[in-house]
Amino acid sequence: MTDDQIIAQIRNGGQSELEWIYKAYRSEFLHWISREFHCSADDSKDIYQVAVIIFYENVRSGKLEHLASSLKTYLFGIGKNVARDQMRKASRNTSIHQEQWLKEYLIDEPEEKVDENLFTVAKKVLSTLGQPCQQLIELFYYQKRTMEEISVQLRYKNADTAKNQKCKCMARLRALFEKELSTIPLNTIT
Amino acid sequence: MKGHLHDTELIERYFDNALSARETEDLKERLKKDFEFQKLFDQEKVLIHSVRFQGVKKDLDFLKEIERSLSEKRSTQIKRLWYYYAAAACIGLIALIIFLPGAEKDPQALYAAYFQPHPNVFEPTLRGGDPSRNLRSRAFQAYEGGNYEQAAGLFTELAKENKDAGVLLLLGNSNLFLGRTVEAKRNFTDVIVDFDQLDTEAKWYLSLCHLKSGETTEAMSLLKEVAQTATFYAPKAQKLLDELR
Repeated sequence: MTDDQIIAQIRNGGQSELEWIYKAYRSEFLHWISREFHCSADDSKDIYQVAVIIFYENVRSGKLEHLASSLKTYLFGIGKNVARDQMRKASRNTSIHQEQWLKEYLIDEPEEKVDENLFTVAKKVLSTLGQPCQQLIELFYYQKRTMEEISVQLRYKNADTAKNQKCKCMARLRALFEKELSTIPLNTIT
Repeated sequence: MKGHLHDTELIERYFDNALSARETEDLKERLKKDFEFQKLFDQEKVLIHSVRFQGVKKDLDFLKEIERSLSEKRSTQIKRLWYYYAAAACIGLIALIIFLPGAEKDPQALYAAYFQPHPNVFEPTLRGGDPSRNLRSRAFQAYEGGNYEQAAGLFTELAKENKDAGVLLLLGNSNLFLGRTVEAKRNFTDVIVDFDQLDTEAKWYLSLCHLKSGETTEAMSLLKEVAQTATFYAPKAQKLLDELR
């Protein structure tokens, strides 16, 4: 399978492709990053996991459609950037905070910051949203599935039904969010 | 209130990339001047950000789980190296029993092992019959002859004229055989949603579509439903479920 075929498969696929990528380059990457940046075994694994997730996210979001180099070079390049950034931000002895790193990576405009308080509330209400709403909006906003694909996967009548359902789910999420915000003292929200 | 709803809808469409260039420009201009609108915008952004973060977190947990199993495997290998050498013959035998069936746990391999096109039990055909016969006969004849490309085309035509569950089921099978999983999923879903018959069959083949696409969770959910029926597919579904677990 060519690298472009792998990319096409990731775009349409699920976690099995993620697993395949992770296992395919793991040993080589861990060996290389620990030698290049003198990382511990645990830090090397953390960096590799972040690199694979970023690669996956770039494919799904459409940022990466064709590879100018090989898949391995691209993946190792991400790993190098993550490791360098980590070294710049923190002392060498501090382990990478994967979730924080990925949270910042997901922001589309790098100069913008997400309000931590609002983000905490949003995460909390999202966990109470219930199914199939959680799955539907995750398929749309994270996995970047089309309404046509979502209608097939979640067995809606058609793409329009899926779209209407998604709007209802977002309205429900907003209502939960506003209700939760109303219970929090104003001076704790910026 | 109406204005608030309109603004929310406008912002949602912005994040869904459903606004025109002009509308996007207007929205950005308004964001600079209208504090309340900016507040709504920021709330929507943080909600979508939390949704994407939840997706990333799931994928990260999934990789950590893979890493844990790989590390455990490696650690056990190192600790018991002496034991493996001593008991090489036994381990070889156990490996044959455990790892060979385990190798089939790859969804693609399981799909290949379990997928067999549904037989044509809906329309009798005559071998070497007159090819100028009607569309329906030609479609079923192509299917029975294993010419799935032609069968898919003819069944599609047939479904436009008159949708019936059997035609959709075999159209789905043809598409699945040809690797067109998105179309096949739609065909089987139509059978499940629009008809009262062939539900179990459609769910079985839909689960295989998911398996072929690597969507193991969705496949297992359907297989559980099929395994609980009193049909020919129930034991096969249970066996496939066991292998996936």
